[in-house]
Amino acid sequence: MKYILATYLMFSVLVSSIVLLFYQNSNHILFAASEKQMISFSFKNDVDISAAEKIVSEMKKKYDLPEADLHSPADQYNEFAKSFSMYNQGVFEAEEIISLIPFAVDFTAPAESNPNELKKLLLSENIFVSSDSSSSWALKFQSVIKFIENTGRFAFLVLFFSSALITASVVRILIFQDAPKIKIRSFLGESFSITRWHYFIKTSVFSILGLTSGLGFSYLVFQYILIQIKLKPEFSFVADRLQFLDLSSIAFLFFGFLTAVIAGSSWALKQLQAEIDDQA
Amino acid sequence: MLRIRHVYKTYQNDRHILRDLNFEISESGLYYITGNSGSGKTTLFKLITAIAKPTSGEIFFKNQNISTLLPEGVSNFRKKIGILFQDYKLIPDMNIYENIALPLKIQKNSTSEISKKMDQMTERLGLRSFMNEYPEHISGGQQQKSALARALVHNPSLIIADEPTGNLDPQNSADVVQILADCASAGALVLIATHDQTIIQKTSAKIFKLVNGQIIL
Repeated sequence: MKYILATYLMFSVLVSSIVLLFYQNSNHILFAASEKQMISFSFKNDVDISAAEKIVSEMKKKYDLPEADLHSPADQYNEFAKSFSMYNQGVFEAEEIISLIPFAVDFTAPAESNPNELKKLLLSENIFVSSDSSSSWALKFQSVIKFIENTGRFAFLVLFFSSALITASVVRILIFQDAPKIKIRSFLGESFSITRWHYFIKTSVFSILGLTSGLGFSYLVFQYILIQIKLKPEFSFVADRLQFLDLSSIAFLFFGFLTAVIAGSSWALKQLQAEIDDQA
Repeated sequence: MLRIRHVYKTYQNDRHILRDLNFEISESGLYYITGNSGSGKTTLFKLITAIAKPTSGEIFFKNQNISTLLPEGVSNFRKKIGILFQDYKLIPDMNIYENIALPLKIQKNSTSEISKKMDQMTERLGLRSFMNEYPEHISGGQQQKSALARALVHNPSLIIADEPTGNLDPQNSADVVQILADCASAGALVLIATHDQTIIQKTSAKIFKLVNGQIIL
């Protein structure tokens, strides 16, 4: 019984954690910009670093913008080269390319504001041009992004709760397989509180073993995928953004399944106790 | 010692297994309860061992009302009694030693006490040769003796044996009855349910006959 439970839990938590990893990392890679409400621009005219910093500071103050990230031409080139160096087959020198890149800035719009309205106001200053970056795309499709995000969260929760419910049922079935043994022990004078405690310890120990193994396996799967992605230079920008589950997600999975096991055990033992007490 | 007052046990469809059952056993000793199949012997034993509750009426053992015990009280009561089931009820994934020692473990005896009592019991019943075997690997007679050992190992003051000679040859049957008679002589109240006429004819013990859910002396 205990080994079946541990194995079942291992696979349940493995599947759930991989789904959660996929969902969270999809968000990291695709939709990070949308959460920050970023508005991206390139400078219209050629400016030096001090002039660029001054302009950004003035705009922040004028429009009450909480954050602004200034990107120098060199920074932008390096970021581009990291992912797409293979497309530059040595035709241009780095300096030549850098000289063609203007300063760029990402403003973060206040949470309660409308980023599109702010963008229009900033463009009307005649200092910036709209940058064709992922952030503008994200802003445009913000409602679609939110929809996908909510669907992913909903799909994960449905999977998690259905797994938890099946786990509780598996525990229940396994305890009912032990019912004849439990009844004999009861006929010999073992009190049901001891039986309950005995099963609580037994199922908890093996559940913890199964859950830890499942999380361990999902970590190994994650590392394997990460290595495979890193081996392909064109996907290195993806590898930089991939993250394993954070502590709160691990705790959610771990205690969620443990709660399902305890609930399943209590449910089954309660029924069994009623059956034994109520033979009349 | 054992008092049964106006006990009814009624199952679905108003089928009375026991009806207005009254009898009293005032002294320890060996007693037989006989009756045809379906006469209510097993049901009566279930009531006396608190495995089932009477539909109405009261059962007292040593002035304790068994029929109104709460779950914890039932557990404590069962620790004081020995039950030999008709189908043995040995636990399949425990070896014979572990099966017999189970009541001692449940009663939290120390390892040395368990070892001492187990030595005495296995010697007395001649079980030493198959202590490490599992129930499915021994004969029906050996299982019967193992179940008897489990019922007696903790020196209970009330022993209930349901058809204890059902699967035994005449010699083993006589041995089992003798062991139970020895327990009765040592001060226990022993109730044996049987329809084995060869045993009943030989005994000088008191016999209660169950007919249609009532006792006929």
